[in-house]
This record gives sequence, C-alpha cells and structure tokens, in this order.
Amino acid sequence: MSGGPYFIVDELRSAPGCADRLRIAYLDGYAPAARARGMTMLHAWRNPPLDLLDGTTTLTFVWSVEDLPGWWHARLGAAGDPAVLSWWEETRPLIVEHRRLYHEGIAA
Amino acid sequence: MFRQCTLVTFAKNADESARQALAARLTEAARQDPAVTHHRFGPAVSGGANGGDLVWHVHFRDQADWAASPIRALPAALAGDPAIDHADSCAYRPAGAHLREPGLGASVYRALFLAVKPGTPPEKIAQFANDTAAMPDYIPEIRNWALSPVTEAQGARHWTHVWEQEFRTIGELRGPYMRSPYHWGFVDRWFDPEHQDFIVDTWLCHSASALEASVIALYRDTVAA
Repeated sequence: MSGGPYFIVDELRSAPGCADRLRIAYLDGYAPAARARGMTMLHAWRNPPLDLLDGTTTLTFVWSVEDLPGWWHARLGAAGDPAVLSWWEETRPLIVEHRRLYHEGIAA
Repeated sequence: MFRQCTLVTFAKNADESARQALAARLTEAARQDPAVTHHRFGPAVSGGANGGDLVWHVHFRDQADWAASPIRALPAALAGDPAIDHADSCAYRPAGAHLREPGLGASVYRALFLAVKPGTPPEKIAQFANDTAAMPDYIPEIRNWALSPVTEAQGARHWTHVWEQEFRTIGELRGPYMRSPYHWGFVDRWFDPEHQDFIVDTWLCHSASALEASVIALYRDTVAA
C-alpha cells in the first residue's frame, strides 16, 4: 500500500437532458465544500463527449487526497456535514446512477 | 451464552465519587442476580465516538435467563440517574467468535454498535456482514473478534449489530486497523453516505476500553471451528 495520494472518483450518469444542470450543480454546489475538506479536483470528464438532447451523459470527476489522514478527513467531514448530504438528496432527480470509487495508484 | 454490553456515559458534573457509586450499584445488581455468570467493567480509552466512559459486560447462560433478569431493564433505567448522561446497550448471543489469542491478557476491547438502515435487502446485509467479518484476514492485529446480530437494543439507535474486536494495544486499533486499505478502501463503503453501497446509519457507537483479560474468550460455546 502506498502512502498516497489516493483518488476519489464520482461517476454520475445524468437523467436525460440534465447533464448541464448536473455539471453546474456539482461544480458550484458540491466542489467548493469538497475542496474545503482537502480534496483536489484533478479531472472533470464527460462521456459521450457532448450533451445529448434526450440521452444520458456520464460525468466523471476525479479528486485526490494527499494521504490517509487526508482521506479520513474528507470522508468523515462529508458524513458529518448535513449540507453535503442535502446536496446529494436535492440533486437525486438529475442522477440516474452514481458510482463512487476509491483508487490507489499502481506502477504501470 | 447470552450477553448484554452497555456503554455508560457519565454526566459532565458527575464527580469521581458519583461514578464509583454508580459502578458499585451496577456491580451489586449483577452479584444479586443468580442468572449472571460473569460481569466486569472496562474503563474507556480516549478516542472513541459516542463510546461512553465505561463499558459494562454482563453474561448469562442463555437468552431466557437474560430476558427474566432485572439487569435487562437497567440500561434504560440509567437514563434517570443524575450521574448518567446517557447509555447505549445491546443484548445478543455472540455469533461466531474467533480466537487467535484466547489467552490475551491486558488488552483493548473495541465494540462498534451499528444500525443497518431499515428496508436494507437481506442479501446486502449478508454481504456487509461477510465483508466486515473478513477484516481479520487482512488485519492480523485483530486478535479475537465476533460480529453479532442484536436481539434487543437501547439508546440512540435501534442497534442491529455489534462488531467486537480485541487488540493487544490501543496503537493496534488506531494504527493497523484504521490504516488498512481493506478497512478504509473496501469495508468502509457500507458506512459512507456518499457511496452507492451505504447501508449503515452514520450515528455509531465506537468504544475502546481497557481489559485485564479477553472477554471474547468467554464466548467459548460460540467459537467458530
């Protein structure tokens, strides 16, 4: 096991036609508090590479934390913040599927 | 065997004499009850969360003896004691205890009271239990352990499970246990409200207390082969 950094990935499949609203909600409503918990956003992706008029789009946000204390700080900070939990509840109608993944870098 | 584990949090203004008086009353209650086969206290080690100041372990021969015992009602009755802020308690038959070090002497006993959210599908609960019970496969510092469904809960939540471990030192709990990637990178997802596998209420009782000898070793009639 490395000492970090560790990577936190949110894959959000938007409801049809909601990709842009979801992107704005995540970047404006979720990301600032995540940064305040010590997370660094590395990448923001979408697939397919356009916002479909009536299809779903998967938005992928890749974050890093420096080390394990940083991981626990981000993780427990979110769990203890009613605003974070409310954000997920309020954006639920925009999200068909959400996957959160935790990664460690490996030699390639 | 059947047991009742109570996490007692004293009132902030309860001085040492009040605390000792309460412990003495609980000890006397256990001594007076012929159905009690074992009882002891464990003083809390700092760093817990909702884990109390004192852990009270009481054992019975079986569930019927516990159900008929006045000890059963004591945790709820503690709420009216001026020396007590609150108490959380679980009564259960220890399930599948495992002993790496049955002769463990001075040690740290860790109890996690958790509440799986109502409506969670049984297969999810089973998967959660399997993942949690496998932690010792990846964390050799867990010396003895048991994951048990709860028969009767009292306190802040309707506790559904008690996850118990014993470590040689508090450093083993705070270090290898918390740093294990199996813990934070795999099992913790069940507890993470931002994760798609989240099923455990975020309000937990995480208690670490001192023991002079293993209490899980007493679960001998439940020990897994």
